Amino acid sequence: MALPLPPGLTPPEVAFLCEMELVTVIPRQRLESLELLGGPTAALFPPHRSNIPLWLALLLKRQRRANISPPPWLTPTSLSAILEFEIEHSKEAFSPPPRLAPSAGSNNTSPPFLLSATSDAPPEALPYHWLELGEILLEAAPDDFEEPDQVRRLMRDLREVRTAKLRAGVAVLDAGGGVKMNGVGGMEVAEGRAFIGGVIDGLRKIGASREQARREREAEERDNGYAGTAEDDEDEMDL
Amino acid sequence: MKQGGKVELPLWLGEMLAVSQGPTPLLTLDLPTSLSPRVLNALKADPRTVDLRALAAHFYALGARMLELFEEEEVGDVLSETFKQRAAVLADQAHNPRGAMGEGADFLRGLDEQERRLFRAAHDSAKAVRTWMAENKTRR
Repeated sequence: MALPLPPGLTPPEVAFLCEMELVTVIPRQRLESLELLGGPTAALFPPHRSNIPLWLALLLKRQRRANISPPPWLTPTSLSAILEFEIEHSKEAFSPPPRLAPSAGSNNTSPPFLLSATSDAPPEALPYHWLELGEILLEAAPDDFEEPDQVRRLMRDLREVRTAKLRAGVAVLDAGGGVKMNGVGGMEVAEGRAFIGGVIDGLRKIGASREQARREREAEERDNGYAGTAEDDEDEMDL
Repeated sequence: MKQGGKVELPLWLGEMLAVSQGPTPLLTLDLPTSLSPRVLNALKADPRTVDLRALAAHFYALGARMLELFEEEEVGDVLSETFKQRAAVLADQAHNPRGAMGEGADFLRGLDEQERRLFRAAHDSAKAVRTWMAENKTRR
């Protein structure tokens, strides 16, 4: 193998991307706006809250220059509501991702442009980086949570439930079929990619000869002019 | 080889003789014993208890190859259903570190090559996430 790494992102890479997310901090010291490649950061004036990238917030937190205010979905109330939804109301699907603001323009429809970890993020949905962000905040700023242990426990439960769902998803897979993965987070994708891809590949190999036969039959029917045109159009869409 | 007799040949040789040019093929192929009706019935009953490795180290690859040679709709169905069901069990075992000890050991021994690769992939990615979480704890 030429590449030592499997396709896709490794967990450290996903976590690195997550550090681009904006979080809300409560500064303890003044800090002028920094001119960075990604644009200027918000100036910090205690006691006003500002949104700054997670990596900067972690740095300031470590130097005790700021406190991080956890996003609203990372609270026991929200997490237990989401967990209940995952267990009780949608046995197969994942809880839906945060809804896009109706006013969202074309360039702020995805993280980090879509604010999903600031204090005004929607409380009722898990954003794309929920797992990484939660883990990092729980480790870096446990004293900024009201009930860190309970949040930690709920995060673990959520992860268990969702991993089990992701695994159960392969049972309904088909060589050409799919499983609905709306609302699956970045770390979960990174974790499941190798396995799910492997299963689909295996099914494709087993079904290859049948697929071949089907193609040939269809080509034949098309040549003979049997098949309806509507059906043909549909098949081409699938490709 | 006598006419009308049955012999076991390597797949490549049997295949070549079966599709060789000529007015009549030199021989006709049967499904290999690892895809015999008895095995298929066992797979239909419970895919998880069959030791695929004992049947053929590359069970699914062999199956896919045979499906190219034979028009066996049912074999294909059984194979993909088996693969799916076993993949789900395999994922559970891969995520569960103590799975390799107790009751899972027999199942893991019976995986064919393709399933072993899958197990390794699932196990490695689960481990990578665990490693990241552990590092996250020590770093902050």
